[in-house]
Amino acid sequence: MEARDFPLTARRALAMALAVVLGGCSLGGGGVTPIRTHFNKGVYFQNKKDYEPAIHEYRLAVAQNTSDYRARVNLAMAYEAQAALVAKRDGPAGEIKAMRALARTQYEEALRAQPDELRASVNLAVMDWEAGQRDVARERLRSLASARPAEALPLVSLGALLLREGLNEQATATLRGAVSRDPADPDANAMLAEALRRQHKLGEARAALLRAAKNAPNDTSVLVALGRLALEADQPEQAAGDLARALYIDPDLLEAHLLRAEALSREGDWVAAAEHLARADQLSEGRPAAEHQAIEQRLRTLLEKHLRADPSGNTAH
Amino acid sequence: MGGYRRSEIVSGGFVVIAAAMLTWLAFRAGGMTSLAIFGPRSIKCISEFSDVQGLTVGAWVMAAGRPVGDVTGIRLVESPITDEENRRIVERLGDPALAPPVGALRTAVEVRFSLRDATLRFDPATATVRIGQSGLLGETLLTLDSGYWMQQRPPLVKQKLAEPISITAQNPEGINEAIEALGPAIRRINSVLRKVDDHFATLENFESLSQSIKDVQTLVASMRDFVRKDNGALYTKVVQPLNSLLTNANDSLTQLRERVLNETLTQAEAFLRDGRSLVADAREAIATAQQAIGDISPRASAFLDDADDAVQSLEARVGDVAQSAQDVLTLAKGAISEGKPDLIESLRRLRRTMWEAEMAMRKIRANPAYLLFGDDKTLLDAPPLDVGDIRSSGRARPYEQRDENDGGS
Repeated sequence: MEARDFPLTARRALAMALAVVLGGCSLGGGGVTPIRTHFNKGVYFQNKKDYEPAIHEYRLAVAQNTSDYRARVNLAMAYEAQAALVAKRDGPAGEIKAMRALARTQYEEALRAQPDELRASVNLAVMDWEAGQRDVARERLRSLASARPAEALPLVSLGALLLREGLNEQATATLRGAVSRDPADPDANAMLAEALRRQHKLGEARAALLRAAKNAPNDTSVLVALGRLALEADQPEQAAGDLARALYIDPDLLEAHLLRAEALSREGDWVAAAEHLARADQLSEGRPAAEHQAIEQRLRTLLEKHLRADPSGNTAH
Repeated sequence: MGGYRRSEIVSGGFVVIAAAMLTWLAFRAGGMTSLAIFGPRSIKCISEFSDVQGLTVGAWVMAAGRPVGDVTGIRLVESPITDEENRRIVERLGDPALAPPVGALRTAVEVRFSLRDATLRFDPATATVRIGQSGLLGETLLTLDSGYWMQQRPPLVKQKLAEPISITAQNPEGINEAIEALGPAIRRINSVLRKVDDHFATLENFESLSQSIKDVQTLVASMRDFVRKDNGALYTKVVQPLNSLLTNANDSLTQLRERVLNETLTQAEAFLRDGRSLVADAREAIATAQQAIGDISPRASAFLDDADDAVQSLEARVGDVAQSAQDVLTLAKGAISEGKPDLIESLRRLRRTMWEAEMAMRKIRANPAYLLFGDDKTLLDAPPLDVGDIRSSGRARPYEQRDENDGGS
């Protein structure tokens, strides 16, 4: 390279470096996948439990492609979740009914676009069950299970419905069948664990939950269930560890805060327990008044008990 | 100069010239004119802001787009809340109980600045200053509106003053003003939406909603002006959809109102006309009967028969009118029921877009580079879904995000 060429080369190198830096900045540091499709935006909002915008995005996705059965299934689920939310807030019955009807229509449209769509069939059966047609729903799930022998989903759903009816032994058998179809299925294992827990088979239940956690390491509900199980087995240290993992993934998990407070309280670390209860108290502000007040009362009782014993608050630390 | 050689004198001359040029450059870089310290006297002014948005000492003061001075001092002070501020806070919070009372102290920012341009004329009584920005990515500065004056009252010109002149500070302009305005507009739309849900289709609601939409349209117009100055992408992403939503919502409202008004009022007027003529008929019949009874009693029965017929006819016609009134009500109810889902959907989308517009504005204010590089922060990969409730209900999970290039929508 001759000396007189250097400034030009340097300028080019600088311009390229600048372009790379600006490009990196535009991607927020790199490694980020921007979402532009309505479907993916809908999933983003749905996972955040922000159902109104999710419904809006899914509707746009369906309007763009009426045969998009996946958008229709997710739209139906968002309608159902929104209806449940309105019902929880004692909203107008007409609105709840209308949203459920919309959900049903979307499931049916999804099946029209894709007749072997399994999720829509399963969720329609659950809607039937919730509408009081329990035999019809169970029969539908059984026929789905026999028509699709490789799929665990219909049996998982049937097991969950049996658990909801309190038929724990039948549910256990059904869910064992689901696990034998797909041993790695986290839903099958988690539901089996729940069925076993209800029959006080805590060791087996923990093994099933560990299988679920292995296959779905970010599934906070599995980690919370592990914590609850450990508490039932009177292993607060184990429970605190499991729940800490859940809170690492989602720091705003109300139930995990409550259970970890219980675990830490049993271990004698009442200061940390009070911190978790205080956070739970904050998180429960949007919940029904009774639930919020119960948490406040728990926190007050804990503080009164320990501050009376040690007014300096130095018991644990 | 006998001790110096010519070459030394020439070199020294160059050094002096270089030093002078460096001094001049230093003045320019510092935002001062080279004659500022020797030149015309400056007028010292003072204003008080609630938020100076990163304004720094040395920032320019601009009047009519040209620099006329600079900021000389910024400090925090205690300042009482005025009536106007109290009103704005109440409007923003929506509840007078939450707003601090008039006269309560709060932290404010006192800004001192000097006006150096000898040709500048301004009237302290009507002049105002506000925080501005030199372009969207530029630095923060003060913008002076020099006010107005009558010919017989000469404006203030450069003069020696012991005390600084106090000039009224105005609210932040542009994006901040837009953000300030968006909150109350969204709250109004929300309150009207609640009303729509509770007691749909009263004319009062229509009026209130129409007013809200007009307010938002004004806001959109100002946002459009602001956004068009710098970046068209934001205009297409936010302002255009917002405008089309407003138009849709307004159209829905107009159509619904026209249908209700036309169908209801036209029929109601007919009802009134019929009612009035019926009453007139009845009165006439009764008057005739009374007169007949009074004058010739033998013929009374015949007239009373006539009156009876008239009353019967009246009853029948009133029945018809009542039935038609019922039909009108049913018709109006049908029109409302038909229009309601469209209207509510439009309003939901409007509310959603308003929220997005507010978020977009806040992001631009926090980081103007958003306009250059776009913003994908809200549109990253979805967070993990908590499937606990879905699983225990027996439902299947929803589908997860798919490849953006999968051909899906």
